[in-house]
Amino acid sequence: MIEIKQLTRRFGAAGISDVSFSGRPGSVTGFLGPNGAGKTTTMRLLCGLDRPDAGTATIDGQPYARLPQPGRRVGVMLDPGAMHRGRTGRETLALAAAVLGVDRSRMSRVLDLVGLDSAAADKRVGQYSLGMQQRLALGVALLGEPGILVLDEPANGLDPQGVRWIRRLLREHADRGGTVLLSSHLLREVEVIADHLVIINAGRIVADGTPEQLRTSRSTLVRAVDIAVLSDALRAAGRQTRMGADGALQTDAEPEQVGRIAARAGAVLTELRPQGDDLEELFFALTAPDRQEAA
Amino acid sequence: MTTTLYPPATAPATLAPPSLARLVLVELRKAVDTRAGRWLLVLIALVAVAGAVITAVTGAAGERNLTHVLGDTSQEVSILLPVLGILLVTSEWSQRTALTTFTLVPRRERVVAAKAAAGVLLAVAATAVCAAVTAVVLIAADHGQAGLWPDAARAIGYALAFQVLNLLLGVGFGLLFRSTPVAIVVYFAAPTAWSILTSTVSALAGAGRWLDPSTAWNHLAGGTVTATIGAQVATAAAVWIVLPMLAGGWRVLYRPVAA
Repeated sequence: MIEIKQLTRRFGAAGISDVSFSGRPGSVTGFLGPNGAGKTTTMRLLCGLDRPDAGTATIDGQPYARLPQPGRRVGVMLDPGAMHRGRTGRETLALAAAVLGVDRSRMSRVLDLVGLDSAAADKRVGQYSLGMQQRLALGVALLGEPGILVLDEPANGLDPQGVRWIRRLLREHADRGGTVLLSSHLLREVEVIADHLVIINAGRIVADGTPEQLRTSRSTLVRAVDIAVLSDALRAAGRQTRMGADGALQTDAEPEQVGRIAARAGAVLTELRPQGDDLEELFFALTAPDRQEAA
Repeated sequence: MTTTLYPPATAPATLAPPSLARLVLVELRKAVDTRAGRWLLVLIALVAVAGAVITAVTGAAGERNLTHVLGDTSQEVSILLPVLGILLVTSEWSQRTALTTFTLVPRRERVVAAKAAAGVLLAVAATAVCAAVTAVVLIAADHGQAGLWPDAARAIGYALAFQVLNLLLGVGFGLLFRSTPVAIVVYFAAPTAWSILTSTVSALAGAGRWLDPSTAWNHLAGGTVTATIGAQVATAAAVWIVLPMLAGGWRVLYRPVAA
């Protein structure tokens, strides 16, 4: 069980604020957001690599840094490039195995599992392709047979077969009762395996729920000739509005209500449709760079 | 949702933290498992052999004894030992492995302690190699005069203290700078700059004897240690080892691990 509560860490204007969500056993949590939204910052705080300004992040109720042998509980992959380029893949695993106290047979099973053959394992990491580095880093994360996996952009650098392979691996891990938290900036990558989606934008959580819940969260997308007039009218009627970067307005009012309000305000509509059944559209609407309320 | 127990039954139940001894072994392994690390050790061994042979062959007859030859050999080796100490620490940052290291061992003080202990063990090994090479060279070049081994134990003890100080100086610089090139450049430049400063500014000459590691610690290699020299060794160690270790160690322990 991963629990993140009101986690805040500021770096000047950047950082994360008041981030709360959880990852439950038996489920895959997809942590989605554009690059720079705060996914890595959140995961680094979860793994004790940085300290929060406020809030807590715990693994089964304990801060990560208090776990006696964290590699046996949590498999972490934050940056596949963070490996010594002069060591072989096998040696990289062997160093982690020595810290974790796992034996050679587990090492060779992990190499099999991540699809690195003997020749690849004996090569220096500096000669690895991005995909091979990714597989090795995943092997280090899986080495201690952890119940919880925390993976930052695990599909980066993998070819299509690799992406399918990692999806199945993570799905099976969760189906056996494991907890998986994986981040991505691509909705497509996670929506097929995630039971639970957490969307972060500009350091704040903007959506949290199952894909079904997010799909049915009602909203309406509307475009108008004078969008500011319509936005004011909707807000005057007590509705929330959110201005998308592409000039479209998102509101929690039903399409019919929007039509009535627009008619009263004299705003000429150019587009009006219910939104929410398309996750991708919701994702883009929530994470548009300029998603603040219209004036 | 399944209710299968996890982790699987094959996973060992033991979740004890890795012992410090195990972490020290891991750090020693990191020092030798890359080509750069292995070549540095080979280079150190070659310097030890060359140093012992040259001193034994070219030295005056009265200086062909363990104390003298080991002292000179130790001084030559001591130029490279701090680099070994620096790399023990800085390779984690230059290769970004600190991320994995501190993820697996979040109690960072244990990693720092393991690195310092690995450094001490490497200094012991270096001293053993220097002493062995010196002994072999002295026996091979034996001209039959007496007094090859006066005070052998004391000479080896001083040489060991000297090498431990040099290696820990490297570990301290590594912690302070966490960058291989910066730490190495500062290590080679700073004591020299300090020596030049203290020898040109007469007011600082007294301070130099107390604060210059090469002046103070070389007495150890030379095998002459008085109470005053002992105090000078300790003062220089405080400034060049303890301070960098405290400042650099604090940063490593309490600052975010570089992304």
